[in-house]
Amino acid sequence: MIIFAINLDVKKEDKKIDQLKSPLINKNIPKNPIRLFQKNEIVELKNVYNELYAINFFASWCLPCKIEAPAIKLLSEKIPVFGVAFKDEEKNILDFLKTFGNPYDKIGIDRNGLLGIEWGVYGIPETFIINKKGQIIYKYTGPLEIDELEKNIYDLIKNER
Amino acid sequence: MKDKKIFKLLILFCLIFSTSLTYPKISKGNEQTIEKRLNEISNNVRCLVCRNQSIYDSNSDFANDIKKIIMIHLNDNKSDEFIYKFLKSKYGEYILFKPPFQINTLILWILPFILIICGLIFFTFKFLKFRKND
Repeated sequence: MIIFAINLDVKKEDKKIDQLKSPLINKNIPKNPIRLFQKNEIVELKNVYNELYAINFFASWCLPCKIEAPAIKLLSEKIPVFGVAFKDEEKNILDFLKTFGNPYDKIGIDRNGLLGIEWGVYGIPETFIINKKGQIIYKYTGPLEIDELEKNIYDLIKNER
Repeated sequence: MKDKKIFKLLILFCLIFSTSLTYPKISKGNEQTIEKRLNEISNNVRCLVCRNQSIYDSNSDFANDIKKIIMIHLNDNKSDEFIYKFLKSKYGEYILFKPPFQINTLILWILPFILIICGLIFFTFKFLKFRKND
């Protein structure tokens, strides 16, 4: 009984670690400027959006990013999604978008992973939802599932609108 | 006149030579201190990918990125406290192996001492009972 209880607790803890509560929730988004993909333009996200939007850290070399592609496409039908290509090469990003489709409103580049640290990213893919005030209201680590969209994200979007 | 020129050249030579001798020593010393501090901090920062490994022991992408940002802050002369605070602000307290001494972590700090005291009391009673029966 005791061993079972401990095992159950460890499993619960494992799940908690996978979805670590981010201290950035309800805080303003990091101010770091982001270079746009294939454009000679550096933007600050707070100047790009004044509506509810999502940020998705992805990479062409990341298998879970390929798995979550359908869910990101569905999310992009509800709110704009800003993609951040994490430690990736231009050619590979283009190939990825060609193969899995481009759900992104705009794409930024994080060439060395330091932008990811500012956003508390530890394992891509990671998805954030930002409200109109520019605060992070949701974070999901790992490949986004359609189930998660239906269970939590759609309601969140509805409530924020 | 000639003596003055030689004297000036000698001073110039001394200045160049002295800086070239001392500069690498200071720089090497700094590098060693920074490396030592990097290792100390890395040992106390959890790799969130490997979970129970420090970023010092881990060679994951995440660990290397965190080491990179720690190095940037160290080169910017930031204190250890600043670096820990920065990492905590991005990843939460879980990223640190040593929890800070504060109200919500108090139980973590005092629990081992409570257990030792309870153990001592238990064994003292057992010992006294054993002696009484004897």
